[in-house]
Order: sequence, then structure tokens, then C-alpha cells
Amino acid sequence: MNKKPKEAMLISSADNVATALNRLNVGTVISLSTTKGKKQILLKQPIDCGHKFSIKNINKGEPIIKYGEIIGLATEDIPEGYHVHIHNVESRRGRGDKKILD
Amino acid sequence: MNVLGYKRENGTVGFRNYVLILPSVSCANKVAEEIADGIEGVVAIPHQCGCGQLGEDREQTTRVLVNIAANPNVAAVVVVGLGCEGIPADLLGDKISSFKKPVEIVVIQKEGGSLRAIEKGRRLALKMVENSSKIKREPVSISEITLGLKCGGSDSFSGISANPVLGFAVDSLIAQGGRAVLTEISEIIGAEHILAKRAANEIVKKRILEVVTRFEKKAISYGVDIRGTQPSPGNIRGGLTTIEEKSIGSIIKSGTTPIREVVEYGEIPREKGVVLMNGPAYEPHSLAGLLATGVQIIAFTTGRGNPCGTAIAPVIKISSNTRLYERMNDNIDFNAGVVVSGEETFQQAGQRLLNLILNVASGEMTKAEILKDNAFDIWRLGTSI
Repeated sequence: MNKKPKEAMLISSADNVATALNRLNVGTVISLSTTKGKKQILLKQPIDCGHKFSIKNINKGEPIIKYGEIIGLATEDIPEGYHVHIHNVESRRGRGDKKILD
Repeated sequence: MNVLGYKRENGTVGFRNYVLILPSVSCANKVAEEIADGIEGVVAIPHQCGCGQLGEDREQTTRVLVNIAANPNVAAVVVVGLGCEGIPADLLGDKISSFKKPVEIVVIQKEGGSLRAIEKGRRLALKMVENSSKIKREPVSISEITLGLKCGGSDSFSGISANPVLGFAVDSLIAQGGRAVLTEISEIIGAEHILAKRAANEIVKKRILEVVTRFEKKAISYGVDIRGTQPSPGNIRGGLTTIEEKSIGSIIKSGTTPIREVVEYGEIPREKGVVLMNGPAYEPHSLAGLLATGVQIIAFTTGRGNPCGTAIAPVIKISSNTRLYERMNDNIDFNAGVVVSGEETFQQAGQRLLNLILNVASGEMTKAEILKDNAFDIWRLGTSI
């Protein structure tokens, strides 16, 4: 979090999503610094300011990781460069509809 | 380092100097408001409680009303009762005077109606302001500050700008002997394992997990997905996807030091350092509980914008993004969006925020204070009986 980001921010090197710092258009190539060096992500969908996109392919049922922590599970396969939000991520907590209590 | 505060007879320090008109029951709200109306330095906090309450619900309301009167920002109190309420004005008055604070009681039925009660209350308030205005601000240590922590209308920037910047300021305040009160237990769901690692001891750790579980079980008992309430529709538009994501971003505002104590809603902490208060995140409930713990100042981060203030403690509004700071400048005191744009480092912004907190302690007014915003409602544990 010490870098001076422009288009997007990767909070932890363990994360599989990054946060858009502006509205980003389809086809934009985002450069992110990871522990394995620079990584280029081609955006396949427009990403609203503050919203998340996948920086690698995430399979259905796999955890979504931000802040180096699990923030939910993918409800479908999410290819790299896609919008990650309520349409393809579910929470594991407070699920009165599923009676799940971790 | 010093700030300027009002030394109270009971050893606490206030950073504001209000005369409080406290209705013991909602039936006395109108009279309490009329007493305060137009008198300099007097505030009333109307509320919807005080009668028809049983057990823990009644105990909690009593504790909150007494402890708000005990808040160091309050110089003196007029309790206004109806005369037949479940939480009598006399009972509150006795408990408040144990804090060595000037207290007077006005009971509407005893005075013979609203107008007589208002007249008596206004004379008492006038005298109290005359006396309390003689108390001068004096240099006091910044360790006297108890800072309330709150967020409202969060977006996904809250967890990467405003909350880390506030966390930096909190670490600095704690290092200098101060106290900060974190609450909003429903917004710790999914992040309790991180907070539990910061517990000062096993008892605190157990209590952290206990209060979060209690909230989550309550949420689950409604039989629906928490999403839509946590995160709220505005949070979701701002990019927050799950309660876990919101919570992890939210607790960052409490910095990195140990959690020293867990207190009930509106209970006065004994320990310095970071304290966790049981209670919901909903603004008026959260702010009322914080006031009762004795916070003299509240730092409030927001990504979507929020006007909420309190009658007793100044609320500092911290925006997570520059666009909000510019668009809702009438409500925002500090822009943490500068750390996203790279104009400032976290350390620079955190130090600037701490300086603002100290200036507000010494008397600088915040937007919510100037606009007299008063979001106040006591968290109820039961139904009216």
C-alpha cells in the first residue's frame, strides 16, 4: 500500500482481485506490481471506480482474496480481467438464507 | 503534547462545555427541547425510550442516559421527567450526581404542566450556563482524549484510504496514552479473527468472539442473506461485495495496537488504549452508545457521504475519496483520498488527521457541529411492554 497507484491497487500479494481507482474501460491493460514482478491484466469488462476485477482465473467455489484474506467465494468461473462483485461472489457469513454460521 | 480542555471535578476532562437537558422519557422530549431552545451553550437530546421497558432493555437505556450525562463534555444537567415513567427522573438524577456533576430535576406532572416545567427548566439552564461558562480551558495532556471511531456510507476506498489513515492517527494517539473506542460489531463479522489476534489477553479475545457471534446469530435468525443490509445498497454501489470485505476494511480504522477491553453498549471503559464497545453499526445507535462511553470527539470515515453529528461531541468527517470531499464539502472535514492519488503518504495524512483531532479537541469546530446535526437514538434490546 506504499506505492503510488494510478489505475488500480493490489493490496496484498496474496490477492486474486485488484481495485480500480478510476472507471476503467474494456481493453485497458493494467500493470500491477506483484511479488513475482510486473503483471499485465487486459480488462474484458468495464470496471467502475472502486470496484474489483480478477487478476487471475478464479474457478467456481474458489475463495476471493483481498487484503490477503478471504472475502467470499466465486459462484461461477471468473476469468482474468473480469468484474468481481455481487453477481459472481457470495458471502459465507450472516447467511440466514442458508443457515451458515462459521 | 498538550491540548486545551475543561477539567471536571471528578477528574475527567471535557473538550466541550455543554449544559445538557436530558429527558428521562420520550413524553418529556418536547419540554426538554423547549428548555434548550435559543439558550446559548445548552443542548437537548430527545429520544424514544424511558418507559415500557423491562430487564436488560431497561438497564441498558438507564446506563446510556446516565453515562451520557457523565460524558466529560457535559458541564451540568437538567433531567426532565414526566412523573410516571419507568425510568424516573429522580433515579437518573441520583446516579448522575455520583459523577460529582451539577444536576437539577424538573418533573412535568409535579410542576403543573408543560409551560411551567419549561419556565423552571429555562431558569435552571440559564444559571447553569452562567456557572459553567466560568470554567476556562486549560492545557491538558492528549492522553485525556477518548476518541470514538465510526464509519458510515463506506465504499471500497474506505478500507484503503480513510480507515488506514485514521488507524495511523489512532496508533499515534494510543502511543501518547489516549483511548479510542471501536464499535459497530455487525461490521466486524468476517474480520473477528484479525481483531482477536490483537486481544490484550484471553478474556478480551473470548469477549470479542462472543459479541460478534451474538450479532451474527441475531442476523441469521431473520432467515435472509445479510447482504443488502451488510453491505448496504450504497456500499455495494461503492464496490463492496461482502460483509467480510467491508469488515476487514472497517476495523483498520482502529490501528494496530492491542484491544484492551470489551465493554457493553454505553458502558464507561476502565482501560486506556483501544477498547471495543458492543453495539450495532447503525449511525444514531452507534453514536449514542459512543457518547455514553465518554468519547469527547468522534472520527467518522465515509466514502458515500454522511452528515451525522452529535449534540455533545464533535464529529470529524473523513472522506475516503477526493470526489466526495469536493462534492459534499459542506459535510466533510478531512480528505483521505490524497493517499490514493499519491499526493500524501499514509504517514503524512495520518499526522495531518491527528493534528486536526487535537485542534478540534482544543475548540476548532467540525462541519457536523456547526450544522448542529444530532443523530441520536438509543439501541433497544427488547420490545415495548
